[in-house]
Amino acid sequence: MKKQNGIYNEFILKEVSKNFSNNKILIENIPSAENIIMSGIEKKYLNIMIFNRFLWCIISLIGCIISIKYIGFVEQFSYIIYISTLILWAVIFSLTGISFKRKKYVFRDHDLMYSSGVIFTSTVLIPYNRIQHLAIHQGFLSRVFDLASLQFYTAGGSYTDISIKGLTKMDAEMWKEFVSAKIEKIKK
Amino acid sequence: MSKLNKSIIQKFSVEQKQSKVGMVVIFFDKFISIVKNYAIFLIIPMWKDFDLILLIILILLIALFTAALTVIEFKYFTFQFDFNKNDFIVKKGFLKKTKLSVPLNKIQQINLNQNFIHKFLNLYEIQMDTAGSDSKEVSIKAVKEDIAFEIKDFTDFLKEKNIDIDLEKSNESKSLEIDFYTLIKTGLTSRYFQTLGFIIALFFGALEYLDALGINFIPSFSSFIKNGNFGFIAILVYIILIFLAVFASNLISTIIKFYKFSASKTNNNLSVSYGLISTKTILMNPNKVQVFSFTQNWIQKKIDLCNIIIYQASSNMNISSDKSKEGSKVNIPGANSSDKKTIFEFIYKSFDDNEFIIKPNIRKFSVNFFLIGVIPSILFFGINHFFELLSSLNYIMIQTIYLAVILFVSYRLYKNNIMSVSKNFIKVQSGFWDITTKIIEIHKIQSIVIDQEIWYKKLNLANLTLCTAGGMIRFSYMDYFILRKITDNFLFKVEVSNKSWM
Repeated sequence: MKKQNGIYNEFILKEVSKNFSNNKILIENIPSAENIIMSGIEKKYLNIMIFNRFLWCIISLIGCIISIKYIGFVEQFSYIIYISTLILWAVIFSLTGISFKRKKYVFRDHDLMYSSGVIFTSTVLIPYNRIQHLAIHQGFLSRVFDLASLQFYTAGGSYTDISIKGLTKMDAEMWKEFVSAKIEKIKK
Repeated sequence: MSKLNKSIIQKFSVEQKQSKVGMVVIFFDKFISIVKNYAIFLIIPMWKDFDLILLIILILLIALFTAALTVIEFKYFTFQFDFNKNDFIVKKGFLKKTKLSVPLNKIQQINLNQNFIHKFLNLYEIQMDTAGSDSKEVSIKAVKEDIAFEIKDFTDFLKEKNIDIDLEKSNESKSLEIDFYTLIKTGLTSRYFQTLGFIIALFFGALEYLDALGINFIPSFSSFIKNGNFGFIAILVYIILIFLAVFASNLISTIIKFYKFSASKTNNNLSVSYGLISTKTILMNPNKVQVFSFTQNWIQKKIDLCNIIIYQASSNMNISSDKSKEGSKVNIPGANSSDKKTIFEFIYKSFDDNEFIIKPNIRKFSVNFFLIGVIPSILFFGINHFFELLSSLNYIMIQTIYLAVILFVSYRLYKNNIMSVSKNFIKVQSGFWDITTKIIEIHKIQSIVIDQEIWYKKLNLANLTLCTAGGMIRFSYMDYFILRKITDNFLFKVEVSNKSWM
């Protein structure tokens, strides 16, 4: 592995010395996204997450009861269904805290980064000069807790749009201003 | 403006109507769409007690209704150009009047299309693709050939007015044509698996449809499975029959779609036109190209042939309608390696040789083999054990063949998956039979997604997805350390680059 890394450094250096000879940028100077302390989201958002999961549980419970009552042959497996639903609930609720902790974001000079996920973790990186537009969303529950989500859209399709949930309304506004100013500056 | 012909300015400053013969086109267009939309309601009730006279009366009524609509649409549809404001204006509608004015510089591309009736009457459909999220697509259904080309020429001219190009000088140099023989070769060598899948899907779709109509084929089909002849020769015959069907449908569809394929350079654009029944003309702008992909399999490599697909940035990526996606995609069937090189150089103007090659972890092989080989085998073993479909000898034979095939397939998938990074380009190659290579320019990256399953954290493996405005490329089971380094490098290049991505 070290060998491959060494080859890569060599490759970059060769490239850099060939093409960026006037501005001194070496591999060590390219800012790394690896060792960055990311900030977590507001604690209040945990309430919303728990509420959402609770709602989900109730809906799934109703689904279970209805399917057991009305689909004939399911009845003999009813206890299996209940137990598996319970296990599912347990898993979901136990992961809530970790899931909350894993939602992290960071704004840097030239790009922003958002990571989330417990079992399937993902990190999305968007440079400011590729953002098409950004918007603040606020649902009913978020309004109760004075929270908002900040969403960034790119031309790369909805798969990669970042939506930072669980910021305070003020923070969301502030970050929106910050990024908008950055975008304006780049456009000029 | 001075270079525009005065007669053209006079001609298009006043309201113009579509060609009168064009009513035929509009009529058939409407008629077919009405019949298509409501055919289900017509066919199902009629299946049980079929009445020919009722059907004819119904069709005549629909035709009459369509004819009335056609006349109204024709009468109230006008188009003109406002040369002072550089706008293109369309007025339409009888009850609900609409006036569309499109600034000429907002028009992304103009396509001239022809379907069978257009061809017969020597007419063209003009389609203007506009940018903007609420993309109102402007289309003029049927105009005469000379008018169509006049409009296309001078709108192209007005659009690029700031780049001072004389229209007369635009030399249609270096055109690429794909002859009939090459099309046959392409048809016979490409898309085996997609077509096979399509035929299977069509077969089951047809079964379901017939079932809905009350004709039940499924019992006879399942009895065929149970009692049919499954000797060695019989299976061979079935396989040959399926292969013939795949070959035939590939050949026919390729020829219909790409008949008389020609591409030519005009000014900065590549203009591509093809089609047997309906001719399509697509204008491609190199700046809008996001992904350059080519597909080649083992046979095609031997005869030096590949299919190129060029994805352009589309204004309406979010609307996932097929039409908008088709419009932003340029397909070049049966190009040889020098054609490929010419097109690539035309689009990107450069080529890097200094490449850094990254290969996926061996897990790509083992996980694939486990998922599509071992798990289905276990399921199949269970099903066979309980329902006793096959005798044990046949079972062992089929199982061994299946596992061997999957072993080979997952090995090829692993071996052919290569990512290479150079100064300006990222290249990802994948596939087991049809090997697709996708190339993107680094500064056209919109965003980067790194994802990782929790059980690969210890092994330090992760997946990388690079998104552009015309599609994404993905490379999985990659060493996390290398991944971080190259994403930093990509981000750096995107952030310092002044080149526009579109």
